[in-house]
Amino acid sequence: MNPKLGVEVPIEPERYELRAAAPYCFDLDRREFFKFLGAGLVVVSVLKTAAVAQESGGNRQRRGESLPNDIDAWLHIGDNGKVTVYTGKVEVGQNIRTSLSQAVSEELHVPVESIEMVMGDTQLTPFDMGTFGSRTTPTMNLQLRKVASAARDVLIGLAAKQWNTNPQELIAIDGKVKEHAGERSIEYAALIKGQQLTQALPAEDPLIPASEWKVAGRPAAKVDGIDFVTGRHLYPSDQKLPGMLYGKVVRPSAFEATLVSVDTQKAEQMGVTVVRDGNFVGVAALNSQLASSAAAAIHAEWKAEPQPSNKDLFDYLRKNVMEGKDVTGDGDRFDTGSVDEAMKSADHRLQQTYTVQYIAHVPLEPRAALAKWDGDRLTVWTGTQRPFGVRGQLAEAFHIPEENVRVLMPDMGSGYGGKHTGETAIEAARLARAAKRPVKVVWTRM
Amino acid sequence: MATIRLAINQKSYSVDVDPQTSLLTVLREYLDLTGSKYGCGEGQCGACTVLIDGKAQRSCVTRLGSVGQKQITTIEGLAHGDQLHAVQRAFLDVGALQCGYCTSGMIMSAVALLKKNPSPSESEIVDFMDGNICRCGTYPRIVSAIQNAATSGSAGEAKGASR
Ligand code: FES
Ligand code: FES
Repeated sequence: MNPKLGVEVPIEPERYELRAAAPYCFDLDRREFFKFLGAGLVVVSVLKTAAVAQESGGNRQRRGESLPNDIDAWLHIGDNGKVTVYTGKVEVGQNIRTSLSQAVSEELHVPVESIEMVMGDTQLTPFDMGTFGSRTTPTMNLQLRKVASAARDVLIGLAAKQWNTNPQELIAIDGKVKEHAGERSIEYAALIKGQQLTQALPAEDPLIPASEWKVAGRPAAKVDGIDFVTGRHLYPSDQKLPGMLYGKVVRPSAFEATLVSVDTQKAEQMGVTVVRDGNFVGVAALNSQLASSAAAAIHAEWKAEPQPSNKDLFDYLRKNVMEGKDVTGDGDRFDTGSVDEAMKSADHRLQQTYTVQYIAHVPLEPRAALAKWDGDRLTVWTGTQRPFGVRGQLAEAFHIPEENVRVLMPDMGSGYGGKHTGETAIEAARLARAAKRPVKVVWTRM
Repeated sequence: MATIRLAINQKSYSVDVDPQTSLLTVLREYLDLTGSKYGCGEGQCGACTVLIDGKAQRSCVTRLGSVGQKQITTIEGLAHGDQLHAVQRAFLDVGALQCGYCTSGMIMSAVALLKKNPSPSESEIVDFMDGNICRCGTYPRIVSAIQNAATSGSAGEAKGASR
């Protein structure tokens, strides 16, 4: 709530990048999947508050990060004691892999090291609109604490039943349930042994107050930091598959230019796969140098409308206001109060115009994607803040159902709000389809 | 095409490749040593930094043909087994990374600096590290990590257990 405006102003993601987002509801029927996990305890967080239920798909976007009205995270404890947490959020350097593990550790009373976070994999994790707007800590962190707390309560309940005692007499500590006063203690793994339990979040479940946190919210080492300082961590641009080709896209001469003609003859003689499809021209080759030289050997003619220069940009924007046009298509326009009235009644008036240049995000890792087809099923590893959004874009681009597309997001070299869309994923997938082999595309700076 | 022999991380490799190819491309694509990163490809960001005969070099603008038999060290060759190099240890201890994409280049540059100057002042660190860009903005921690590694006394050595 913004007290001044009296309306709820959500923290905004880069909305212009969300235009292509198709709101998607997670398929609640996960029974099959839970079965596949084998024995253990699954706790799902199902969100169906009145407010969320009322919102239409379109309005979901407007809230910046309204949660979908179904499963948004879940946790599995195997009967080997292994804790796996599933969330659609992604790690882009904000270190949520660590902070979310701490949150789970706090409520579940297991060491951070025993927790594995599965993140941003559209096949394994619940739908998530995206990781942006600094929303992970206020939303997902809270959800995961609730999930972990519910799991702990189930475990305490199991022990109470086994020992025929009151749950109040028991505490959870260090992956075990123990008697407050007595001697008995039992490991989580032993409590779950051979069982398959599913639990939804209870409506009310008090969480450990922040003032009592011992693990959550405290400085902690990056959970997999060692992989980063040794160069072992595989970023999206480091991914590789057997038989993989390197892709290179021939870029248009200007923004929104259209292809008039293209001569690919020379490139075709270089032993590479050449694709021309609408305005898309690209090659896939055995190595990246060959891909670059083949792309350079392609002669393309583009037709481009003249573009405003940086100098003229603000005049151009002012003259070309899209009056009344809702570019994001999410109905996100609202009026409140009156600037004129406020100005009239103000004691001091300051009128000034400020302009800020268009600024690119420039994460240090460029856009990257590796795509692989198995028949009409597509798997893409890509650096994105919105794996589910990219899945939708891929499904749309290739006219295949979303169920046929899996997007995985290896922890990437940051994004800063600049990796929401799926261009690179689509490029790699288009080339891979033509080459009938996996193709990786990594953008260059040139 | 030519067969080129390379000495990387105390091992010898041979690759069939155009000598004009960049060392970074060879490391990443041909030898699967992906710890060295592509950030710009133009010598502007430092993400691809490796040591060539102990000196920090941008592997993206180093042509393979110019390397010869010089000793190349990449981030993968810094630790001895589980024993991290003091600079790696310090980066972990200080938490000098967010996304970590700049980290291997930062560490390699820092190792080269400490080899040359085992106890650099803050401004010497900043000067030397100037060509390494961290877009996440972890610079203050990177400086402290390098100071930590320097005071830990044996910056050139692998030290400490991994975790
Ligand atoms: S990739 Fe070599 S300096 Fe940027
Ligand atoms: S930690 Fe992300 S670029 Fe340095």
